[in-house]
Formats: sequence, C-alpha cells, structure tokens
Amino acid sequence: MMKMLSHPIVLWGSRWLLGAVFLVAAWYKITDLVEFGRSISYYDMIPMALIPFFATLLAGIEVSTGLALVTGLWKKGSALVVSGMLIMFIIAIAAAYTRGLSIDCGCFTADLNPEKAGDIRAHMVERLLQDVGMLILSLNLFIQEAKRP
Amino acid sequence: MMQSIMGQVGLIVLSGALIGGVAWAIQQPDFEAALAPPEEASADEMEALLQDSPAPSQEEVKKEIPTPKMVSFIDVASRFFNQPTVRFIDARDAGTYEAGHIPGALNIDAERLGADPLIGADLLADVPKTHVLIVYCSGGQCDLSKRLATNLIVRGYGKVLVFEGGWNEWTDEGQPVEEGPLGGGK
Repeated sequence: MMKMLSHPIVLWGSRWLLGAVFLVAAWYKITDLVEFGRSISYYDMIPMALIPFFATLLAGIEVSTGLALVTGLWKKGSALVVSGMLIMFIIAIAAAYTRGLSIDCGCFTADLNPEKAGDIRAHMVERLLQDVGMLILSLNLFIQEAKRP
Repeated sequence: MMQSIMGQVGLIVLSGALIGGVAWAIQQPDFEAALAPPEEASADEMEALLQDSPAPSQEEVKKEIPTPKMVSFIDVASRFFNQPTVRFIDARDAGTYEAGHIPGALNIDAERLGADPLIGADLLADVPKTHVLIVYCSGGQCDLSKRLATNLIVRGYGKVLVFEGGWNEWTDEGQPVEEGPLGGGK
C-alpha cells in the first residue's frame, strides 16, 4: 500500500488530475472576476471591501497552482498550496452548509439554477466530497514529495 | 528543506498575484456596482405607490430604466398584502408555483423571458398599470424577481417592487400560502 502511494505513476496522475481540475475551475474565475467576487460574497465570510482583492488573488493563485502542478514546476510548493486551498474550500463550503445557506459554491461556474434550492444543497455536499477526495490526493502528493531530497 | 518549500509557495503566490493583476488590468472589473446592496423603497415611496397615482410615463422609463427597489417582509406583510391595488407576481417556474405561492399571486416564469419578453401579458391584461406589482422568487440568491421586475417596468408597470426575501422568507414567517395551478385568483 505504502509503495503504491509513492509510485511515480500515482504521483504523476495525482498532479495532473489536481492541476487539470484547478485550471478548469480557475478559467471561469479569472475570466470573470466580478462574477467570482459575487460567488464569494454569498458565503458571507469576508468583508465586502476585501472581496475584490481576495477574488483576484485567489483566481490568480488557482491558475499558478494549476500550471505548477501540470508542468511539474515547484512540486513541493504546489502540493502544499493545493492542499491549503482545498482545506480552505472545504471549511468554507461546510460552514455555509451548516449555516443553512443554499449557494452556488462558485467552484466551477455560477450558472446553477438558484430556484432549485434542494439541488443546490445536494450540489454543495457533492462538491464537499470531491474536495475531500482531492485533499487526500494532494496530501499524499505533498508527503511523498517532501520525502524526496 | 522547509525553506525551499516556503520559497516555492512564495513563488506560486507571487505568480498568482501577477496573473490576477493582469486579469484585473484587462477586465477593469466594477466590483462596487456588482456587490452593492439593493436599495430598499422608503416608507414615503411605498405610501406614494399605494395612492391612486399614475405610473411613470413610458417617456420617463425610456430615458432611464429604473432599478426596481426592494421591499422587506415586514412591509410586504403589513403594508401590501391583501390590498386591492396590489398584485403579487411569482417569478418561479409553473411547477414550483403550483406547489405553493403567496395567495392571489400570478405566475410569470422569468426563466422564459429570454424567449418571450412579453410573457404573462394575458395574465396582466386586467391589472391596471396604476396597481403595485410585488415580484418575488425563492429568495436569497435568486435573481428571477429582479429580472422580471425590470422587464415589467419596461412594459409600463411603473409601480414595481421586489420582495427579496421571497417565498422562503414568506413561509419561514408562517404566512398563508395557496396551492394550485397558474393564475390563482384574488
């Protein structure tokens, strides 16, 4: 099992999967900063004045992290950043869910039908599970990369 | 080793900030307008709407399409509900409307506005333009009510307000509801 976790193909596959997901997710954010800022505002966790700065920085870091993962540049750093971001996303979505919010998570697109509140809450759980799955991959990636000289 | 990892993290954050900065420079995003809270109608404005005054003329509307103002649950329940010159408009789809709506509300599915900008004209045919229309959808993140309210203003219904809390707030507050098909009477 331990050998499988550190197998080069597993690490390469994890990097590519995480990188591709981050780049796809970043595309809608970086190409429409206002819409992404609006998605962040629905979480009601960040002061309005900071949302423009936060949305721009987060979208940019998602792009740079995705690129670093896919190209294999800064392997240890990108594994750490992607884990940190996933932990942040998981906390944000879980906090919104437990507060009873029905919001589009703003993860990939902002085109969910907001009328179907039940669908949105189910979608939030789905995204949460996806993020947890990706976090397991990214933490393994970071642990294995950190062991290397 | 820790130093090298933190160095890489710093480089990723720095390049991310640069990419974000370039996107900002290209888009010049207007966050202020997008994140501004909707304006609520004042008590005087609401009273004026309930008077038998004419709606704004089409000439006035054409000069500048007014942004529909918001109205709170308290005002909806205490000031507008059950008033003879007030009509509620449910902007959700027909199935959701039939499952439950504010008593007397008409249903105009705002999702279909793109295909038919005059949707619901038959339902509104007997509603005088001097009447107040209060548009709602689910509440919270939904924007169907705002889209429909703007559309109604352009159609000449100048006394249009948006009940932002919508159906969710109405039912959370234990208000009466009505079930049934399109165009429930009042």
